[in-house]
Amino acid sequence: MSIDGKKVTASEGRTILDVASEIGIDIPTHCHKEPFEPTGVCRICLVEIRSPEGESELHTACTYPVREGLEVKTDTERVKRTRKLTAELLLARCPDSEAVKKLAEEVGVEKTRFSKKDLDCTLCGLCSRACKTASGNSIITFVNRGPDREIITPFEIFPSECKGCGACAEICPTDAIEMVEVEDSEEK
Amino acid sequence: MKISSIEDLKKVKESGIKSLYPKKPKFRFGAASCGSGAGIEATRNAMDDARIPEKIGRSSTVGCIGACYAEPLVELYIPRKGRILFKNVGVEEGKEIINAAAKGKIKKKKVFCKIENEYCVINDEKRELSEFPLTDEIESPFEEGYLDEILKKIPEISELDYFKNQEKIVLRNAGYINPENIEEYIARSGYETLFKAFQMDPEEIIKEVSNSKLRGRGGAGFPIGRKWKLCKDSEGENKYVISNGDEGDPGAYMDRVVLESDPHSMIEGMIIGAYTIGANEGFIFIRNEYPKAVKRLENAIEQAEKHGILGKNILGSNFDFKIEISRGGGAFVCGEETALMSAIEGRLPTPRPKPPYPTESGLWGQPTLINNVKSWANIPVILSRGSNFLAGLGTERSGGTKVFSLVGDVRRRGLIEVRMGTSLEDIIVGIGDAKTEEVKAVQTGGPSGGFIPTDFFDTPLDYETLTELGSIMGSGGLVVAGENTCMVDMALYFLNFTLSESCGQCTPCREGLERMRDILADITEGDAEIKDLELLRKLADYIEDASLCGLGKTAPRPVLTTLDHFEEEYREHVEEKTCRAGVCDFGGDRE
Amino acid sequence: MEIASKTMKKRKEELPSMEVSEEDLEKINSLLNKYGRKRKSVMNILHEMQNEYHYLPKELLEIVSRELDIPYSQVFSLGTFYDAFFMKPLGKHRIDLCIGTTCYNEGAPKILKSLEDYIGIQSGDTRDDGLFTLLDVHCIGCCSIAPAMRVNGERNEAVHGYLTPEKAVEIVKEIEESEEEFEITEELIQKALDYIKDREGKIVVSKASEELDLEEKHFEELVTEMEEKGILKKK
Repeated sequence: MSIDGKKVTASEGRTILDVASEIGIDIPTHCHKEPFEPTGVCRICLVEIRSPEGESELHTACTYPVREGLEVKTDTERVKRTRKLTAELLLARCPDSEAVKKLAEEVGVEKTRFSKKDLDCTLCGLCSRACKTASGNSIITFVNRGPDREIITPFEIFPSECKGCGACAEICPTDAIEMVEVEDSEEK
Repeated sequence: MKISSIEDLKKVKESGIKSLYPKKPKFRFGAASCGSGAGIEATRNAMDDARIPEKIGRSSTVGCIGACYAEPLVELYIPRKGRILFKNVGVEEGKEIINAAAKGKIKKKKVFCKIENEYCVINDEKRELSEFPLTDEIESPFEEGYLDEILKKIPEISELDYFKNQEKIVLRNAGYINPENIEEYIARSGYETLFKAFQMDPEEIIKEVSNSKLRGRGGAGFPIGRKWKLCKDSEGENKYVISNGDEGDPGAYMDRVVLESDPHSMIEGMIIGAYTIGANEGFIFIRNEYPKAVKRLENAIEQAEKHGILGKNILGSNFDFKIEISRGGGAFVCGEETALMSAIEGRLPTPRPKPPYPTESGLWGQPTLINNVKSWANIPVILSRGSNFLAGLGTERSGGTKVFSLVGDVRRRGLIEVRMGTSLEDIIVGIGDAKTEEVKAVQTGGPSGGFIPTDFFDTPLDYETLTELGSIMGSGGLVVAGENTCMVDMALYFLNFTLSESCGQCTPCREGLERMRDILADITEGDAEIKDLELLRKLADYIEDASLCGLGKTAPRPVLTTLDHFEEEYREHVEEKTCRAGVCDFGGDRE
Repeated sequence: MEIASKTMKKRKEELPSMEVSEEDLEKINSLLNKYGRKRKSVMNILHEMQNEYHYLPKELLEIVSRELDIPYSQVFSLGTFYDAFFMKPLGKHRIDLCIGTTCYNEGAPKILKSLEDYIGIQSGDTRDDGLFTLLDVHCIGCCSIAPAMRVNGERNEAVHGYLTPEKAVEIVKEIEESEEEFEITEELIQKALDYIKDREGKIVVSKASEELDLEEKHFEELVTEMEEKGILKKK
């Protein structure tokens, strides 16, 4: 297969992101972190590939499995344009987040033309995935749908299952989760 | 009885024929959801109460014949003559009709059409109803001569403008049988094709399906034969078949009608599909908003099981297959195949990136064959009539017919089925009886599609021709928009829809659509500038490119098609703050 | 005119508490037996729970989570994702006004406004007296009779078509009136008791309602009240 013209051989079951990092090609990411299963939701790592039918499509490098003859382009105008808009939208969602500002800068975005919201969570879902690994269950998880989708912390509904390991707070790229010492174990 | 041979099936068929063509006249009532809404229950109750048992047999239920504009439809079956359909029958008219019938008279006022010949497409059989019932002992209060005179003046259903250019393949039994009685399905040669299928090699079956050029009827139009082959060739311990009945496009109710009027046509197709790919379990996913369809299906599955058509050793073969119903919870995104599978598994239905595709890794990681309800319903006809028959009904690239729900600004609304390649004009004007001058555009493909202005009505309908116009074929909803429709408002309407149905996972759809919606709202309120139109396009292209699933990818279509075909309206809203359709009220009180 | 589906509201508001009774436990148990204690049964079970209780009590969700071995948070997540499920009780009568494309073009927005004005709530809300919940819903597949609305769909009550703002309000008025007229008085209880005694406890609901001049659902309410008061033994 090839990435940006560089020919490379990779074994089945690996993703474009894996292989790219090995040959020194940097693809920006946000919602992906080893060793968790990639979900491909933030769309920052989109790259251009040629489908078996010959069409040019964008796919997330973190999830797309390599195959024989795959041609990947990580720096076309289309890829760059798309990355920028994604970052711009995230910046409008979380304008005060240092991590998001840094990500935006990384892909060449300094400001956003969209009206700003006031959130600090990008819904990357790493907290939920980390919780599953740490405790065996996704105790911190998503609720609602669409623009109302949000992460719900355990104490609002089901306090007893959370052991307070702090994996979620640790993994959160935007520091949107805070661990707070609670005196009384009954207190939510 | 459990059917385990062709002879057994024939016995059940005979019983079904007696049920379809009894020796006493009787009334049948269309019992699909829209007949319900039009008042059929009240009519039925009144007529059942007025029935004189010695003269008129017990009434039964029949599915939807597609002429929804004529609901409530009531049918009078007369032995050795045929059927007379009455339209728009309210309670009073109903009583008059049944009282007249008991006296051997036909109340002419609400007569719609007659059916003297029936056609079973599955085995190319014509039935003259004058030859049924097969027994001579009929009881009829009607006088021969009188009836013949009357019937001469009533048009045959196939002569009506509404029906004459239709071709019923998927809807082959809808309106002709009682969907709650499997024997009537069998009476029209249902399930006979299974015997043929079980004698064929799966590769042979795949070849036939491929040669029929049938493409996915859910809207994407993927060649069905190819999907079957991919699934068959995939390795997996347990394979599954799924019927996608999550028809969520507003304005589309085709799948609902198939499920409520002829569920066995889909079940038969699923059995053939399962046999072909080697699956022993199947799921029918039905959206939550169709409770009647769920009931009909539960009933159909139960009856099929009792007759040995589902379960172990189907029809005496060594093939086992069982079907479970999975109910949606009210989320449009469940129509997306990966979300649908998650929903069946009991997980949150958020779509997953593809590859891997369901044929490779689907339900519980196993190879899974997902097809739309109408796709499944086509399968028995392909096997029984041969692939050339279905291919011949369509176009170069697309075989078969397409079922559409023709709604909106047309005089004759309803459910229709036409050959692939039929023009929009023939459908909207010819069948729907709309006048082109009064129509502005037609919306196809639901929230994933777009508006096609009247200038393009001579376009022959096919997957590619519609994509070229910026829309998509979609599931089959055709919403005709009259002069009082504001295209900008419509674009906003669809964006609100997709935004509220978005699962919310990915940035382009969740954030991008919201921003698009806000711009559109501004336009309808007179708060936008010309440069906003540019931003709208930019966002639209981005969301199409970058979204994780089909919902997001196609959500900008309504905006893009209206921008392409109706740009003047956008400009009028932005620059002149006017809405030519009179819908948007600029600067008025809004929520 | 903008119609956003207003039913997409934040559901993370105060969730009501419920005392789980023996009867509730029995009900859940029979659902679990009917559909199986597997993850894939969760939707069927939640649907039945919604139909029975008119919402998903969080206490019962806990039981489901335990028995199906699904993390509670994920069951809860399902409850908030789908339009069919509500985390707070609905009103006694639920009105779903369709805002599908055809209905929308045929005047659903005006009808919605009239209903909101008459009932006195925004769509997505339940009235304070608990009588009505008004929802604007996505296409119910009755496009040929647009504009349409469904009343108490989960109880299989009617779909009303060819609506106008006036007709829609009329339908709501009729429901209100039948509720006003129905009052469980000592007199009514006695009348019902006499009727039931006469038939030695063997009654057909539709006939009984007719003879007592009540709506079927009101008759059932009356019987429930009488059972709760100990006047009747549970059948």
